[in-house]
Amino acid sequence: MTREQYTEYVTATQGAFRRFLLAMCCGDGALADDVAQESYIKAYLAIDNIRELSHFNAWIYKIGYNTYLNHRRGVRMFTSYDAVDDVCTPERADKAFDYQSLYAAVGELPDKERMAVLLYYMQNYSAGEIAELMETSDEAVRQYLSRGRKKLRILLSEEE
Amino acid sequence: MDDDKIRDILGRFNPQLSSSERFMSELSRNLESVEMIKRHAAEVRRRSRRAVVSAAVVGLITGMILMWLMPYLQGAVMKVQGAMPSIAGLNVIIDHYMLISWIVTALVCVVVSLNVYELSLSVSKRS
Repeated sequence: MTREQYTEYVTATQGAFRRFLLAMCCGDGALADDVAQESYIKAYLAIDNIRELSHFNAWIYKIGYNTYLNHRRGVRMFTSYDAVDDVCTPERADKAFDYQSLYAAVGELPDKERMAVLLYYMQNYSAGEIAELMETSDEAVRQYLSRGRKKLRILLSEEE
Repeated sequence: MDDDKIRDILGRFNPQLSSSERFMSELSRNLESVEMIKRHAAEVRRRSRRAVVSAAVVGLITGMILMWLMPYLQGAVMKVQGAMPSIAGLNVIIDHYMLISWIVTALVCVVVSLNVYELSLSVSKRS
């Protein structure tokens, strides 16, 4: 895959991936964008290992998850100056407010449960696909989903 | 709240993202930097490979020349031994002539190879 093809592919698919990361980061847009940038660079560096383009989508989510975990271990010290420009547009602030309860509920879930729930409900991945992506068993993913669902039901009902 | 409700809430999740153009231009910049680093790393690998090959060839040639000279050196040592009075220290060296000459040959080859490696690297850096 050439750089141009890669850029084209990313342009077409980055929206869904960034939305997923935004949910993973509980609404922290700057962190989500950092994780997305880093994930795409990691993917580009290892692009020769990908045989088929159809596998790329699952693969980028896997990279995104691992990158997100790495970011969580480190402490974020600053935000790039450019990124500050569109942090506080009124439209974004309103939209972000709409999802505050969702972010708060998702933020209560442990990382693995959050990942499983978001992939299952947002990206429509099956439990088997999620297991492959998270390098765990189907049974473990079903447990993450079951626990995550239960917690989300309680947390979102409280908000209502 | 049932399963469908959760699916519905997460399915409708469509937050305002930061500008896609800005995101893509930042990614392009990052990819360009990655390309630059990859090119540089490939160049360093190529130079290093060339230097290793030069060092190996020169080391091999040096070794062959020294081995070719060995019988002549042995003859010269024998002549010296015949001409000089018997001294204990000198006799030890002459008795172990073969071993010493192999060690010297190996050392000379290693030193020459290392120097050629360094020289080749610095020449390729300048060019």
